[in-house]
Amino acid sequence: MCVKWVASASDLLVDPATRTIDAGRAHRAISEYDRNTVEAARVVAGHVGGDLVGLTFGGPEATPALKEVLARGADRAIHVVAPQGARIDGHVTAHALAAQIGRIGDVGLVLCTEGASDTYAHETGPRVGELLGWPVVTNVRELGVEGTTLHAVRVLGDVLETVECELPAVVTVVPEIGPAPIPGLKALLGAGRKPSEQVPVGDLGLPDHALMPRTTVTSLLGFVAQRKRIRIADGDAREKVAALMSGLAQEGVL
Amino acid sequence: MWYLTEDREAVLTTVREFVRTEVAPQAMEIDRTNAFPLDLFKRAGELGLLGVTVPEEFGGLGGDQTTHALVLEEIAKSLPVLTVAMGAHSLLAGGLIEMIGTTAQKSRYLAPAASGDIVLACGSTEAVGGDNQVEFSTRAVLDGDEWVLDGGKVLISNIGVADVYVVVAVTADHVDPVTKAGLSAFLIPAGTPGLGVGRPEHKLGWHGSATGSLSFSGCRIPKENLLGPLGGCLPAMFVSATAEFLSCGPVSLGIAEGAYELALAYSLDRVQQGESLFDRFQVTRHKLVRMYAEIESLRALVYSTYAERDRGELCLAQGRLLKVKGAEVSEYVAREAIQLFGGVGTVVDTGVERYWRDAKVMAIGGASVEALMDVIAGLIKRRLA
Ligand SMILES: Cc1cc2nc3c(=O)[nH]c(=O)nc-3n(C[C@H](O)[C@H](O)[C@H](O)COP(=O)(O)OP(=O)(O)OC[C@H]3O[C@@H](n4cnc5c(N)ncnc54)[C@H](O)[C@@H]3O)c2cc1C
Repeated sequence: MCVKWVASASDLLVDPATRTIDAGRAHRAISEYDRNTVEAARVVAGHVGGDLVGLTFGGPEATPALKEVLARGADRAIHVVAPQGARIDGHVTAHALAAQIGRIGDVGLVLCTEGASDTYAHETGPRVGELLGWPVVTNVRELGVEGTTLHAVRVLGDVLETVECELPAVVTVVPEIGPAPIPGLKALLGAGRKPSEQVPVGDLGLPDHALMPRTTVTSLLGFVAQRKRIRIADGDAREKVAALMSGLAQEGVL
Repeated sequence: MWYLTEDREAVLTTVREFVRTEVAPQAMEIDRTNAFPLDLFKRAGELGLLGVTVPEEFGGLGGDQTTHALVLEEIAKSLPVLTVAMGAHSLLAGGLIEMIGTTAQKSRYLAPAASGDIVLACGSTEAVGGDNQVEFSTRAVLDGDEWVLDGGKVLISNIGVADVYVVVAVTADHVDPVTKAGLSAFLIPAGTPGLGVGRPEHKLGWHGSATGSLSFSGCRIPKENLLGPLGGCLPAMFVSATAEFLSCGPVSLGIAEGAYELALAYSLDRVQQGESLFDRFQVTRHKLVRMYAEIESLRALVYSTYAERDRGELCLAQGRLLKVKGAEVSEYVAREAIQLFGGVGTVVDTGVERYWRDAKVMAIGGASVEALMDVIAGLIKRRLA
């Protein structure tokens, strides 16, 4: 399964004046939704057997992701290391992950989360599937494997769709796939004893264009609640409520 | 932070998740109902939080003291009383078993205690002779193959939920006022005939600590339930109590941080005269800076002391100092936090005043800071600090 090392969204500080985001003091961990994915992968691997490999791509700062994914049940973990400060987008990420999955060999199922908790771009799984030439099943909330066939239930708004495909395949799952138990300290501290590997992205033999980002982030601004500081002081209760209602309607709230 | 290693960061991630998803949602309710947080205690056991420093051979993690401190600090930010229950269980009672228990006793109690399968309590305090064990009147007399206990204890935490009580009793004609020889520790399983368990007191703070009385009336336990040397449990208690006093450092730090975070958020959010309290009033900003300064000083003291402890030092004086200083800082910060909230700070449902109540008990529960100051003074005088 593929996991992403991110800054915890709840720790981001937004400067109310400039709306710029300070992630400097934010706690880092694997993306919140990835935890559900790892657990789902652990359950599937428990049923069908086989090695559960955690895979992450990112700068050197992402190395602790390996321990977390190992603590959550992976048998081994691989960090494809991007150079410090390298620009990474969905295109680069997918190439790096797909190339490493190819190197692992004999992979039956790749699990990604539908979206990461920082960018929520919904693109990594489908891109990886496309690069590998494998079927892609998205928005999955139930998952099972029988022999070489994958059964999955997809969420389409209010509708559930059941699909099947032959393995190998790439599946992107939604958090409703199941809860992610908190790993105990024993598993956490024992994670360091499981095998893990760091592979510089340059060792994957990817062509230059694969590592060239296609998109550029030109600005990143937070939402800041703007207080209007309007006081409705005049009139009796009925008039105040009417003024409040019309004010909310004017703002487009009602 | 200089004391955070990769492993400790990973532990923090787990504890934070536990606190955010399981502890915090229950914190106010536990304070309101005074109910012992047994489900959270058991979960803490499942996650390995009750056995951080317990040797691996006895079912613990064999981890270091600093990691333990980080766990306590993080939990105390949300629910200090859970750390109180953990302290009575693993530091006071468990610590004593680990230090002076026989191999059979360690094997029998430490692993299930580390996993939370059993709850331990430690009963020392008596109605007469709180911090002064010389005056204890609970007695244990050997009768054939059994010890028979008579007497009573007060203000003991984890009562009613505990499966095993570690109890201190007089086993000599008199207790030596200097060496405290004549006191012994015993393991008393819950349900032993003659053991009476009172109702938890309704206290100022630490709601949910299940603190109350124990009585012993012809309470018979097997001879092998003597814990440690006959008449000589006090030196070990002095050391296990040190671990508990040390733990008051990170717990107090957590209490102070919990109150400070609430106060800071409120000061930035609450509008007075067209601006946030923070922007409007210099006095608000200065209060917060002072609170912050106290918290950071306490943090420095806590983690430098724990680093010493990890280097093998007993920290007899510094350990007690952590309780004294921690109680002072947490009480001050929590008190100022209430002040920054104004009127709503006094409303229980706001959730800030409970930090002050918990901080206040910190200065007494386990040992009063005045008694500890005297011990520290003695250590300073003998150049043992
Ligand atoms: C919430 C809570 C939980 C507790 N849990 C436990 C537990 O699990 N197990 C347990 O055994 N006990 C427990 N205790 C008891 C606690 O350890 C005692 O309350 C504490 O040691 C003080 O003893 P005391 O209450 O008898 O006060 P006293 O000894 O009567 O002291 C009263 C005051 O006199 C002063 N004083 C007393 N002795 C000295 C001294 N030597 N030097 C200077 N001043 C002194 C202090 O100001 C002190 O506050 C708990 C107490 C509380 C409040």
